[in-house]
Amino acid sequence: MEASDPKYHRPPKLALRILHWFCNERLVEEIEGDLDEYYQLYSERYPSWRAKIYYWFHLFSFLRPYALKNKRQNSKGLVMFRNHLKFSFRYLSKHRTNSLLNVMSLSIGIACFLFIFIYLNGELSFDTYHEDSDRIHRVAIDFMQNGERIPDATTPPALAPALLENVPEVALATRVFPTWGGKYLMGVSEDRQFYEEQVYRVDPDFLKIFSYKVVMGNADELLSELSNIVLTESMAKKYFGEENPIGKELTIFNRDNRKKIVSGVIEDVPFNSHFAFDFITPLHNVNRDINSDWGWYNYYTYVKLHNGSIYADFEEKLQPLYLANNPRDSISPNIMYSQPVEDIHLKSALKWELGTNSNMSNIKVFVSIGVFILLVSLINYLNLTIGGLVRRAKEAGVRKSFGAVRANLVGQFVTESVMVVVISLTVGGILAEIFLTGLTEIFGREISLFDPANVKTFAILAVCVLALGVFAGLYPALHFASLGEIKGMLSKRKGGLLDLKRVLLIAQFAISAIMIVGTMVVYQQLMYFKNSDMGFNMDQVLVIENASVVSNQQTLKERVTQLSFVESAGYSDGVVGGLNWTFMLGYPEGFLMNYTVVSPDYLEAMEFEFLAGRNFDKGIETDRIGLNLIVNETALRAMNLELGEVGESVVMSSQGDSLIYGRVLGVVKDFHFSNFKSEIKPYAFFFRDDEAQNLAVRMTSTNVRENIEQLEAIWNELAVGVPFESYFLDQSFAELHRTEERLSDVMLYLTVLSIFISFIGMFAIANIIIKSRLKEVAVRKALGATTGQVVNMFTKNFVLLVVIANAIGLPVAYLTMQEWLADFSYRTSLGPALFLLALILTIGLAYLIVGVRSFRAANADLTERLRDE
Amino acid sequence: MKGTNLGEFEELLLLVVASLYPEAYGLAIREEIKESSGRSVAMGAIHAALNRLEEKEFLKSELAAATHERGGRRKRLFTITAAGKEALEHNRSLRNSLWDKIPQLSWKNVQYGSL
Repeated sequence: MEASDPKYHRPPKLALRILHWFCNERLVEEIEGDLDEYYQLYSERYPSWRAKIYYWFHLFSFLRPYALKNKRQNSKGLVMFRNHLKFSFRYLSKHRTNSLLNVMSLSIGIACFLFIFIYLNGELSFDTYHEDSDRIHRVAIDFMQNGERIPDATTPPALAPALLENVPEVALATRVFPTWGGKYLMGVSEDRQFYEEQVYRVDPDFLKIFSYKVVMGNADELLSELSNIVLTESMAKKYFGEENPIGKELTIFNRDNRKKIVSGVIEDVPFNSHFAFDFITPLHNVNRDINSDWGWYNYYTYVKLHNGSIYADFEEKLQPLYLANNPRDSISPNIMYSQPVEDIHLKSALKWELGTNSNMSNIKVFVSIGVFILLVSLINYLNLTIGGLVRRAKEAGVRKSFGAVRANLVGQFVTESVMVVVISLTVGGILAEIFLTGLTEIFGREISLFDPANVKTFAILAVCVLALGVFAGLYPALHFASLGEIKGMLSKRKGGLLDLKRVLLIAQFAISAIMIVGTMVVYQQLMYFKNSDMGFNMDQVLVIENASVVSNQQTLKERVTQLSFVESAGYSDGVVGGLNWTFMLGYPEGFLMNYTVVSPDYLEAMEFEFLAGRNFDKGIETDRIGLNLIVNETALRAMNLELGEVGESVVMSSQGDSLIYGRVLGVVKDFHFSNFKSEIKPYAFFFRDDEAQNLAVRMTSTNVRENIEQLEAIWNELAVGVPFESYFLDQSFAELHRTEERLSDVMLYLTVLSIFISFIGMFAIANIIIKSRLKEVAVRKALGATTGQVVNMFTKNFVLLVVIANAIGLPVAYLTMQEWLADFSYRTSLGPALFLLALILTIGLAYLIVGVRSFRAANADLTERLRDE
Repeated sequence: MKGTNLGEFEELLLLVVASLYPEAYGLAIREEIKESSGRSVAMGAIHAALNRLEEKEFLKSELAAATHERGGRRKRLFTITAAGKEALEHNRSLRNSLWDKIPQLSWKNVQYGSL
C-alpha cells in the first residue's frame, strides 16, 4: 500500500519527525518502512487510536545505541587535547613575533587592571574592619559665616555626653582629642625617650566602638584609670623591646614628668583607617568641665548606633540638639550633622580631618584607567587572535579533508587562544605582584597579590579572560567549520573582520588619546602648584621643632643666626602650612580667622610681602597685646576694611554688649597655606613674647647635610637630652599635594603602558596586513612605484583611523579633565596646546610604526615574492 | 569460536529467518514470532538483535529492490549464513544429545497434569 492509495493510513507526522531526528541515515529508510507497514497492518485490525499507541511504542523501541546518529568521534578527549597542545605550541613558536606581542599586551593589561583594582579594594575598605562599622558615625559641625557654610570636622567636648543622654538611637559615644601638633616627650627612662605626636585622649567607650585586637592586658579595663595608657604593638616594641610592658611606667618628661601606667597593648592601627594613633589614654578635665563645654571646637565625636536604629531618625535629632545647647547662635546657626565612618576616607573633605583623605574623584579616575587599559589590551588580544586565526582558513580546510569534524577545529583553535590567555595570566600576575611590592611608597602601605581578597579578584578576572579566550578561538573555528572543504582551502583573505578590527583600533587609540591628555593635565596642575608663587618664600627653610624646651630662646636664635650659612631665622608658634589655630572675629558678622603667633623675625625670614603698613616692632610694647594684627588680603576684605585704614583703630569684635577694638598693623599679600583645592582663607599674625614652638631657619643652599649637623650641634648644647627634630618647609608643603603627586606618577606609568599596548596592536595588525600583501607590494614596485608611495599606501589607512580616534577621544578627555580640575580653587587651564600635542603624538607614532614596517617590506628582496605560486 | 553461544532469542530469530526465506525482514519476522510463539516483541528489539547477529556474521542482509509498497521504502532482507546454520545445528545436536541421555526413569515422576 502506498501513500496515494485511498486506504492508506497516515502515521503520525510528529513521530516521523522524531525518527528522522535521532535515527542513523543508514537505517532510517528500512526502519521507517517497517514501521509504516506495521501501522497499515494494525490500523486494519484495531481502532486508529490503539494503532497509534502501538506505533509510538515501536518507534521508541528504536531508541537504541546502534540506531542513533553518529555524534561522537572516535578520538578520545584527552588524546586529542594533547594533540591540540602540540599544534598550539608549534603555531606560537612559528609566529613568534605576533605571539609575543599578543602575550605582552595582554599581560600588561591584566597586570595594570589587577594593580589598580587591588589598590581600589584597599581604598574602599577603609574603616570596614570595625565590628558593625555601618553603625559607627562621626558627628561634625560646620560653621556658618556670612551665609557661607564652612565644613569642619571638630566639635565641642560636651557634644558626646549630650548625644548619649538625649538621642535614644545612640548606644555608645566617645570623644577623641589628638595632640593638636603638640608633642609629648615620653620615655621609660632618661636615655630612652622619644617625641610622640600620635597620642589620642579618648573616652573609655572608644575601644567598644572601634575594634582593635587586644594583644596584652585586660580588655575591659584598659581605659578605666586616668593614669592608664594603651600602646600599639610597635610602640610596645619601641619602648619595651621584648619585655611585657603591662604595669610598667611611662613618663611624659615635658609635662611635669607625669607618670602613666601601661594597661594594655593593642594591634597596630591598620592602614585602612581614616585616623591613626600610637597611644590612647583617658580624657580628663583640664581647666574646665569638658562635659558642659560647648565653646571649644577641638574634639572629635564618634557614636555607635543601636542595632536596628534608623539612621534618618538619628540624623534629624542632631540639629535641634545643637540649637538647644547653643541658644546664642540663633541667626544663621552652625549646622550639625553626621557622617558614616566608612565614608570618611573617600567622601569627607572637612577642615581638620584626622588623616589625609582621598576622594571619590580619584577613585573614579583610577577605575576608569584600570578598565580602559584592560579594554585596550583585550581589544588587542581579540584583534590579534581572531585576525591571526582568520588567515588559517587554508589550514582548516586541510584538516577537514583529513577528517576533522567541527569539534576538532573548535578544540584546536580554542586551545591555542586559551594557551595565550593562560600564559598572559601567569605573566600578568607576576608583573602585578612586582608592581605592587615595588611601589609601596606610592601607596604608603604593603600589599600583595596573595592576600585573600585579592586572590578572589584575580580569580574572577582569570575566569572572565579565559571565557574571552574561548570565545576568541570559537568564533573563527565555527566559521571555518561551516565552510565547505574546498572553499576553505582556497580562501585567501577574509574581508568581513577588517571592519571589526578598525573599530577596535579606533577605540584603542581614542583611549590612548584620552590618557595622554589626562596625564598632561595632571602633570601640568602639579607643576603649577610647584612653580606658582606661594606668597612667601619657603625654599631652603628648615624648621626646628620643639623650640620651647630650650631655656633661653633668644640665645638659640643668636647662635643659629651667627652661623655663616644662615641668612635669617624667626620663631613662630604654629607653622604656616601645618596646623594653625582659628578664632572668630568680625563685627557685626563673625568669620573664621586662622592665626599664628610669630615674632617679627619670622615674617622677615619668610619674606612675606607687605602691601601696606609695617611689620611688628620689638620696640613697641603695644604690638604684643590685644588685637594688634598683621593680616592677609583676604582677612582684610573679610573685615570690610580698606588698605587705607591700616593703622587705625577699628571695631573687630563684640562680647555681650561691649565692642572690642583692634588695629591692623600691616597687610601681607595673600599666600597659600593649604592645598590648592581650598581657597585662600583669612589669616592673621599675632606677636607675643611667650615661648614659641618652632624656629624657622633660612639657609643658603650649600652643603645641606653639614649645615643640619651644625644646627644639631647647637641644639644639643642648649637643649640637653632632647632629640633634635626638624624638617624642610617646602617638603611639608609638598605633602599637601601628595595625592596629586601620586596620581601624576601613576598616570604617567599607565599612559605609557596604554600607548604601548595600543601600538603593539597597531603594529601587529599592520604586520598581518602588510605580510599578506607582500606580493602586491612587489608587483607595484616592479611597475614603477617608489618606496615612498608604497609606504604611503599603508600608512594612509592607519593615520586616518588615528585621526578618527582623536576626534572621539579628545572631547571626552576635555570634559573629564574639566571636571577634575573643578575641584581645585587654583588651577591651570585646558589649553588647545594639550590636545594638539596628543593628536600630533598619536599620529606621529602611528606613522612611525606603520611606516617603518612598510618601508622594510617595500625594500626587501622582491623577486622571492613574485616567485610564489 | 567466539560468540557462537546463541542466546535463546537469537536462536529463535535465526530459525525464523531461515524459515521465512526469501522474505525475511523486520516486520515479517516479528509477526511470525508473534503468531507461532505468542510473544509480542518490540520492533526495535528485533532489529537490534538482527543487527547483532549480522555483526556476528550469522546473518547477512541486503536492501531489497524498491517496490511500490511501503511508499517506495526498501526493506532489508536477511538470510542465514553458513556460520549461522552451523551455530543452529550445533545447538540442535547439543539439545538432542542431552535429550537422549535422559533415562526413562526421570520422567516417571513427572507426568503431564500432575499437581
